[in-house]
Amino acid sequence: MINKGMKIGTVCLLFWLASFEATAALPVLRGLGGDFSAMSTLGREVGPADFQGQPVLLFFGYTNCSDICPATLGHLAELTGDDEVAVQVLFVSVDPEYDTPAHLKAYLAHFDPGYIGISDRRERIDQIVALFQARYDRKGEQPLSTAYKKLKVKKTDGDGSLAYLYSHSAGIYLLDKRSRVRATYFSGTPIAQMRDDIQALNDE
Amino acid sequence: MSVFRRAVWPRVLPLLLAALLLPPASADSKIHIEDVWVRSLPAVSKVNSGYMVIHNHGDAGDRLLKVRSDLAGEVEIHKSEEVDGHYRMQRVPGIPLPAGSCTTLQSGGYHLMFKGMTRAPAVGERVPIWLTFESAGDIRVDAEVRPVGSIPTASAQANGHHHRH
Repeated sequence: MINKGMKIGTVCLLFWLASFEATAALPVLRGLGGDFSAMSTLGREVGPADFQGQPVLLFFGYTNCSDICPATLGHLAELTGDDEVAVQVLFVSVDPEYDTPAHLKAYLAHFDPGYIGISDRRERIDQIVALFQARYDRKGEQPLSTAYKKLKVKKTDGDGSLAYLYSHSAGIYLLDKRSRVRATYFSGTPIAQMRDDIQALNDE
Repeated sequence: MSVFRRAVWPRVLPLLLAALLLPPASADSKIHIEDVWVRSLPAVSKVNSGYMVIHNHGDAGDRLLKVRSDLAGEVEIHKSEEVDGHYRMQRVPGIPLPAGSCTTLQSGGYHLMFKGMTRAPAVGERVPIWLTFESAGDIRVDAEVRPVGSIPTASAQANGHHHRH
């Protein structure tokens, strides 16, 4: 009888420890994220309030980024291609002059039509960048940075618009159902890990 | 005669076709290139990247100097780097290929940057690319257009498995 009680107690203790571990694994990352509102590929402004009740993966990039951004989007497309994974992807463009909402929408749809792009006035983008303690650089505006190179892309459509190369933060932010940042990833984070974390947030 | 035709042509024809279709690899080239691919991107995209593995089986170093393709107005050689969670990409004058080395052009590292895409190639299409090496000269390779999806990146390998801040 005592043994049985001890066994039950041990099992309960283990469960309690396991649940504690689950919470501890995705602590709220204070100081990251916050409220914003900006124009999106949905044709209206969106902000964290629009995604209450569902986890969000947010990251920064731009469509003239030929390497890391499409690699990250492809990586996430493999994650979100699984219907069991309930998460909203938000792609915040750091090149809003080039990435108009219509352009961004056509670009993102290639990866997953459900992805939402954010492109707005530079000040609004900068505000989101600051909220997530991210950063980006473009040549000509921050002469001290060493990381980027301006280039003029040869346009075949003759509209004469300029394209730039940016360097930018690589992080992918996982927001919970209350828009609190709970984890950060990068383009090489295993899909299984992100899937498990998203599941844990959906179960909260 | 007809027996000869039936027996031999099915075997010979694929070889002849292969000889015609495969890139003309010079027998004495010490540069061997494999796994050449570009990512399928939407038509609105004016840029793309190219990736491959370059082996230098020779006793002397070589260097990839120049790249051209009908797919883009210009093809540059670039290098992406992740420094403290910050990605930066810059043009490099070439890629050194030391004797006996194997160099991987991959996301987050050395790669080709296609600027001014002339069209969006379809998944599965093979796109010719001409590479100019300092010693080996010009070599044509055919890049496979692959669907978007997860691929190994340089930073994923450098970081081991994952990092969570």
